[in-house]
Amino acid sequence: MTTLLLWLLCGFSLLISAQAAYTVYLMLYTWNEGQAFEDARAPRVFRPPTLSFTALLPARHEEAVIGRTLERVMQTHYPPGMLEAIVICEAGDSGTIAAAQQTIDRLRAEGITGARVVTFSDLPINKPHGLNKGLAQARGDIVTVFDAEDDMHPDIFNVINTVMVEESVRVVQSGVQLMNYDSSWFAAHNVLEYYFWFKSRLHFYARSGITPLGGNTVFFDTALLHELGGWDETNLTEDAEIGIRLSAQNERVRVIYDDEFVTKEETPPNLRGFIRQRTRWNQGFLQTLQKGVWQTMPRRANRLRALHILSFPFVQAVQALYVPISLAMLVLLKLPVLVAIILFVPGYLLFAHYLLTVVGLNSFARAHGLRLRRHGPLLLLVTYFPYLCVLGYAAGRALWRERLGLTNWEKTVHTGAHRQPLAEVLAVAYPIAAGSYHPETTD
Amino acid sequence: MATIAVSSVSTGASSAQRRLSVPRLRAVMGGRLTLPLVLLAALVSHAYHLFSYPNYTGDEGIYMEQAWSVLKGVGLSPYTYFYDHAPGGWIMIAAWLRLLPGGVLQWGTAINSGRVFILLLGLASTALLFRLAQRLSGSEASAALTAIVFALSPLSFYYGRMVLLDNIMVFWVLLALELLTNGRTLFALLASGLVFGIAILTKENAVYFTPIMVYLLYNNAHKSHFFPFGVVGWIYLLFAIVSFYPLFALLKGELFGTDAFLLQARGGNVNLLGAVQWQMGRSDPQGSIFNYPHGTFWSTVFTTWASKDPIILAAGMTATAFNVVVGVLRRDVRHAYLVAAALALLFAFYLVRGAVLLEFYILPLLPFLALNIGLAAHLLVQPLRWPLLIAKWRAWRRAAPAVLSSLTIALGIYFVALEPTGRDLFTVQQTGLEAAQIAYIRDHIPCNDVIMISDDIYVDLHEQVGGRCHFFPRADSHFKISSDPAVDQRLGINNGNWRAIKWVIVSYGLAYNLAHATNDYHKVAWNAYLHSAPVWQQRERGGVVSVEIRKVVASEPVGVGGTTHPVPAGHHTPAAAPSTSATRPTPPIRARQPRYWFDVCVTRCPARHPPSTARTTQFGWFTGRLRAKRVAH
Repeated sequence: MTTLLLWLLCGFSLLISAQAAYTVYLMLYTWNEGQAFEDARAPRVFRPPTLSFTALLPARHEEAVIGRTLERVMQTHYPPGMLEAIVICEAGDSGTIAAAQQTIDRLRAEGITGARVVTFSDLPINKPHGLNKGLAQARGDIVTVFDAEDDMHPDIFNVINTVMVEESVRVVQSGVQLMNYDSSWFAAHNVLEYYFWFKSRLHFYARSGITPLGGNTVFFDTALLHELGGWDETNLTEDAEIGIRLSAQNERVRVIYDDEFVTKEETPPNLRGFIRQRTRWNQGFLQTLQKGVWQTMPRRANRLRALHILSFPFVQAVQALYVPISLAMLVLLKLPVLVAIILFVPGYLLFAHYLLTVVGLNSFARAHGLRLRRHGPLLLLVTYFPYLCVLGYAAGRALWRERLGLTNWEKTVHTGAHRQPLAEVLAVAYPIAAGSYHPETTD
Repeated sequence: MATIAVSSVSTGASSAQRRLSVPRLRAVMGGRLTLPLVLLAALVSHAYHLFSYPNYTGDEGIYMEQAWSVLKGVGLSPYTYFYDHAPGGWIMIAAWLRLLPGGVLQWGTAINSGRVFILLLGLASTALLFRLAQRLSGSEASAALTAIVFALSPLSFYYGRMVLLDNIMVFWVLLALELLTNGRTLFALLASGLVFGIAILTKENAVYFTPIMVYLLYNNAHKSHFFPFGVVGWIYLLFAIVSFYPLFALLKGELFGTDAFLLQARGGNVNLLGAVQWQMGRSDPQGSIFNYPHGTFWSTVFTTWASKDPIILAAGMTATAFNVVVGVLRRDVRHAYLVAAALALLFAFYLVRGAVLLEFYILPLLPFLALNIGLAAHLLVQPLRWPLLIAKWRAWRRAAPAVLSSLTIALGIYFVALEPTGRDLFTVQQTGLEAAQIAYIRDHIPCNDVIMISDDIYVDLHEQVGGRCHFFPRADSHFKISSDPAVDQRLGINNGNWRAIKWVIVSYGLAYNLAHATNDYHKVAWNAYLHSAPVWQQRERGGVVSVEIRKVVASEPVGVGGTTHPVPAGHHTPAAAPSTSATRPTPPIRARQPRYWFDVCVTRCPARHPPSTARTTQFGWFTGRLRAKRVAH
């Protein structure tokens, strides 16, 4: 009995180690593949605009930020006649509608006419439903999604136009980066999750032919979207779900991560918001898992990868649980030395993960011209395990809600925290656009 | 060899005739056959007679018994593991033993199985060294010279055949260097950190290579986009791998301890830090290099190493010094020449630092001495190309590589055919004595008797085989009998009762070691030896190596040597009474006689000379002259 228990313990520990090692591999993938590193960069020479774009801006209670975002979309360095922006609101959200309308009127006065508001009053009131409403009215060749608080790069449409024309791909995901790494204790970890996800992991997935897409700065051929039947309105993470469906159809997805051209976002303002956001994602992953499209993927390796991606939040939860359990085992039980050493292996990998986070934070800060506080690494170390616990809690919460059938959308509040404190920084981070982009005047 | 090197170098062929002949030759041989040929030479010369020479040593036995113990799931050692070395090396041997279809005794004795493993690692090391030399010098001929000097040096033959941790460590160090200098990707860089960590866990003195590894790490990574990830990852992996060792000790509660090392012999606790302290403090008052020529360092250099291969030592150190000068003066080849010189110098520093020097410590230096010879030779033959500038005689193009290749072949022939150790290597049968000893024990000695053995036959007596006794559970190492309290209790020796020991199996050198032990740990073993008489003896034909089996019989000391009791063939009389004629009343534990470094024993001089299984110690022309000099003084 004891022997069996020890075997199980070792097996479990080794399984966790393997998963942690795989995660580390994914985090370092881009840096290892010199070519992937180069490929991920955006073109610096743009082709003349040939594709027209429709930007979908689903918004709900976003009166604080929607006007500014709409303005940014329409004032990018792309012929206004080839741009269309649709703000999609639920009919009762008068605040957002008014704010958007105000900006639209101002833009009209400047002669920019491509922006409008689309409202809907049927259920469900969620992002995919809004996106489908917008898609039905989209006139551009390419449909893209931006969240209401996004700071996209002024040249983003030129980049996408160039890539899509030159490489004839129908789906492009460009990098999204959380910026406010020091606005709360968990912010840095959250920022780095995005950093490694978009900078490295996504490239690995794209190359293997399975891409869980992000929620914004993702560009689709409009016809392809219609073919697919739009977004899944019952899913809480419609973005990842549509990525899985595209992968199942063997559609090639081009991933761009260029520090200069990332779309900037903010972390949730407080822990509660963060947990809600995470719960929603995890629940969405669960739904996607249950829907089973991933099982129809062409290759077995990809099916396994999809399974790993979709169950990743729960793996993380187990990881968080593993640490105290293994420590307790080590202290309370007299384990054979070999077993004890095996129990330590995941600890080594978690520490490697932490070190990667520290190096990643430095690399992130350098890329965006930010200055880090000197005790940053220490802070990361202290908050590392609590963050893991929060992730674990969110995963558990998602499981619980899914079991109870609670599938309402717990919306993330946006305050524009990534905008104000970074105003000066952004001018440095966007040197190409420095001529047209003046954060101090637009804020 | 010459043709190959020539064809690979003479790329500037222009005439139609050459175009016809040379490219075809190059396509067949150049760049593809040199390394296989070098490896073939190494394989044949190391594999032939591998199981017969040199004689099994105690250290080989220790690593085999520890590997066997890992294999059987007993632990890191069949005895109390006392952190004398990190266990990486014998864990690998255990993995190798696991792979053997015929089990531990696949090739007769356990040590033979280990030697095959070392042979394979040695071939891999030769290939890695070849690649390293090729990369540093840019010349295949130079790489071939390096690899041949390394593989065929009699020092390599002699120590490189033994199951020693140093041989395994060399492989890992060379692999780490390969990954560091050739790797273009982040993961290759990280793997080198991992591999170097394994090298340190194989034998701790690999840490002396750390400075050059760190330099190469920086050199490789500082211009790449993964620099911070590479450096942090490399250092972390290295520390992580190495830290498993203290972690193991910590988990066993043996990291700290109050007792000095070896006090564990009498009831203290084994502990890692104590062992490290002991290893670091294993100083030898006579070991300083400034103690010339009487110090133990110089005596080892001249009597043990130079007698086997003066060329690699003298040429290697000269070449290293030459390469330092080249590295300082010539900017274009600075990196390669200083890296090669640093590799040799770092480990040479370990050897000359004045601590205990065991004869096989030279092993990790050999590849890097060879590397320096290869690089220096490469540069020295370059002037042979100069006449090309004046006379457009194409043959000169071939001159440099041809000279290098001829040198390689000449050295190879010299090493194998003319050097005394090289000759012994293919002709002398030494290990047959142990095999006969084992056979005698299996046939004649009662299975449960307490047998005092040397480590070299431990596994052979403990591995379960068919026959009269499946194995001998109470056959234990003389060192452990004297120093490990657990063994002491298990065998009923209880602190001094040597009468519990029934048989003394004498390997070559055991008597000397017991007699010359400077502390009293070996008292039990020595007493058992003194009170025993030989029942079986065999001596190497025409050589000095002899082994015995002695039965403990008398209450009075029988003495050293004794006479072999005649045992009729096929008829065994274990209880034969000892002859008293050779009894020496006082145990010959005596202070070490003052010895001079040139006082070389050539044959048959057992007591005064430390037992060396090398049959012949040459260097007479040199020692002779110095002896004359001393007499004159």
